[in-house]
Amino acid sequence: MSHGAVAAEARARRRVRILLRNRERPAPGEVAYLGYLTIMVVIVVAAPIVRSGVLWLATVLPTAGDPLLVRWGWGGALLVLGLLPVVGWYTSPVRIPLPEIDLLFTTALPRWRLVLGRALRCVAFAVLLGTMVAGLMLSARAVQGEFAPEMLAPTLGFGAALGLCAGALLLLGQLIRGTRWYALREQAERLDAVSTLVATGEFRSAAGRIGAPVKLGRTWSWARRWASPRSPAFALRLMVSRDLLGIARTPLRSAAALLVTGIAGAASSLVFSAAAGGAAPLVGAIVLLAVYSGVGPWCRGLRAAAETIGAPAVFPFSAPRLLLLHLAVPTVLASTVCAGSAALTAFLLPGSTAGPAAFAGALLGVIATALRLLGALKGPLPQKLLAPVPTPAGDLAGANVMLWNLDGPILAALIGAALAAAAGSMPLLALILATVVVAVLVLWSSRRLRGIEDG
Amino acid sequence: MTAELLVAGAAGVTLDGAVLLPPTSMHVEPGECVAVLGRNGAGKTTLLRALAGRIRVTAGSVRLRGRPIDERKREIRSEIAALIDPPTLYPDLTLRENFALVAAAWGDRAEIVPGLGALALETFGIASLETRFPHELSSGQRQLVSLAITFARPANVLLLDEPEQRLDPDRRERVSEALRAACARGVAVAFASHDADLVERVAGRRVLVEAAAA
Repeated sequence: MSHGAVAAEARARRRVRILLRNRERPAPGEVAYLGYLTIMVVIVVAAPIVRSGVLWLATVLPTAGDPLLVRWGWGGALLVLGLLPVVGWYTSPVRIPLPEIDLLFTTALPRWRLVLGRALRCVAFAVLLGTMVAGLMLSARAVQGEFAPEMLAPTLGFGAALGLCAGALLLLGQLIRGTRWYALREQAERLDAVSTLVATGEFRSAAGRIGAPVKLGRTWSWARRWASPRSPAFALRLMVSRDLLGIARTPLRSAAALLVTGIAGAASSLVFSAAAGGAAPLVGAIVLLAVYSGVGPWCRGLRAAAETIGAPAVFPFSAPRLLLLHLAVPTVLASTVCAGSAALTAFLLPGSTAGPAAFAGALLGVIATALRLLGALKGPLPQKLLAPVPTPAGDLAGANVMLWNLDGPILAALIGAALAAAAGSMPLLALILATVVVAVLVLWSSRRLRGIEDG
Repeated sequence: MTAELLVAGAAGVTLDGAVLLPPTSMHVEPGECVAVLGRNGAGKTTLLRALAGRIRVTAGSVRLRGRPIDERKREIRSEIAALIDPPTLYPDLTLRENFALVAAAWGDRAEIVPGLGALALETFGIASLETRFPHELSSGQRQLVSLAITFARPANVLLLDEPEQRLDPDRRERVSEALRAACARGVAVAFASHDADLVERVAGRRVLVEAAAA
C-alpha cells in the first residue's frame, strides 16, 4: 500500500472514531446520574455481598499450601479456563453493533482496527476481575489471620495473569467462530434479539435464542432406523432416538450441559458433608439452579412437544403421553450424571459415603427435569399480571411479570436451599421433602396441561 | 343404517357473550370435498376447530360417526388430520426426519386411509428442501411443509384452514391436485378458503358461514 493510501486510511479511521465517540458521549446530567447510581449500587448491593463472600471464604478456605486447595484450586481453574473458548464462541464478548457491521465492516477499513479498542477493553475487564478475585482471597486470608504483606504482589499478579488468560481465551473463542461478515451479522442480530428479550423480562425466550439454530448433520441417516418393525416399547424408542439425535446435533450445548450438570452433581455431595457448614442452603440453591440450567439443552424435544398442545395432533399420542416420552432422555441423563459425579466426589472426599450422595444426586436430576416440564407448560404471560399494582413506591406490575418469567430458576433455588437445609440435620426429612416436591411439580404440570388443553 | 362421518348440527360457539360461530350445520362424507365459505371473521376457522374437536361448541353438536367429538380421545385423533394453526416441527430435525418421525409414529392403521408419508414432500414440490431445518424455510415454504405434514399422516377426515395462503399460482394448483387425490382415496375433506378458483376446482359442495348480526 502506498504512503498516500495509508495516510488516507488513517484519516478515515480517525473520522470514524470521532463520529462514534461523539455519538456515544452521554450528556453531563447522564454521567452524574450514572456515577450516583454506581456509588449507590456499590454501597447498598455490592459491599454487603463482598463482605459476606469474604467471611464465608474465611470459614471454608483451607490453609495456604493445603494439598486439597492446591489440587481443587488448580483443577477448577484449568476447567474454567478450558471452558472459556466455548463461552466466547457462544457469547461473543466483543459486541459489534449491527449498524457498524452493515456500514463499516463493508468498507475497506481493516476490521481488526475497528474492533481493537473493544477487544482491549474486554481483556482489561478480565484482568480487573482476576485481580479483584485475588483481592477477595487475600481479604479472606486476613480474616483468618494468615495475611502477610509479601503475599500481596504475587497474589494480585497471579490474579491479573489469570484474568489476562481468561480474556484472551474468551476472544479466541470468538475468533474461532469466524470473522466473515455473514457470521458476524448473524451473531450480532441474535445477541441484539436476546438483549431486547432480557430487557423486556422475556427470559425464557431469551434463553431459547442464545444458541445458534441447528445446522449440523443434515445428511445423517438416523431416520432410517425409525422405520423398523414396531415393538411394545416402539413409541419410547422412537422419541428417545429423536431426543438423542437432537442432543447430537448441538454438541457444544450438550457438552456444556453435561459439564454444568456434572459439576453441580459433584458439588451436591458437599451439601451432605460437613464442609458446607452454615452455607449448605446457599450451596444447595446454587447446585439445583445449576442442574436446572444444565438440563435445559436436553429438553428441546420436551419444549417442542409442549408447543404442539392445543393445535391439531401431528402424532398419534395424547399430550400427556408425548410429554412423558420426551421426559425420558433428560431425566435419565440428568439423574445419571448427577448421581455419578456425586458418588465420585463422595468417594474422593474423606468421611463421605458414595451411596447416599448418588441417591441425592439422582433426586436432584429428577427435580430439575420436573421443573423443566412445569416451565415447558407455562404458556403465554397471563394478561392479569399486566394489570397495574399501585403502591407508594410506584407500579409493581413489572415485578409480577419478572417473577412469572423467572419462576423456574427461583423455584429451583428455593427448593435446593430447603433440601440442603433439611439434609444437613435430618436426611430422612430431606428425602420426604424431595418426594413431596416432585409430586407437587407433577400435579402442578398436569393442571397447567389441562388448562392448555381446555383452551 | 350407518352414521354419517362428520356432522355439525346447528353448532355454535359463544364466548363471554361474543358469537365466534353462529349456529351452523354441515356434514362431510368419505370421498367428498366441502368448501367452507364466508367473510373474514364469520367463524370459518372456529367451525373447523369445532369439527376437529379442538373447541367445545356452546350450542348444537359436532359428531364423528354419531359420537360427540373430543380431540382428547385417541380414536378421534386417529381419524382427523387438521391444518388450522401451523404445526410445530422439531427444530433440531431436518424436514425429511420430521416426516419420517411422523410416518413411523403412525405406522399402518386399519380402517384409516393411509397418508402420503415422505411422498408428501414430492406431492407439494418441496422434496429439494428435505435436508433443511424448519428455521431455514420462507413463509411460503413453511405453508407447504405444514400442508405436506398434514397430508403425510393417515386420516379419514382432512380439515384445512385457507390452504392456499402465501402460495403462488403453481403451488395452489398442487394443493388442488392433492385435495382431489385425497378425496379419490376416500378421505372426507373440508376446507375454508377465499380462493374462488380453488373452490371451483375442488369443492363438490359449499357451506356458507354467515357472521352473526352485530
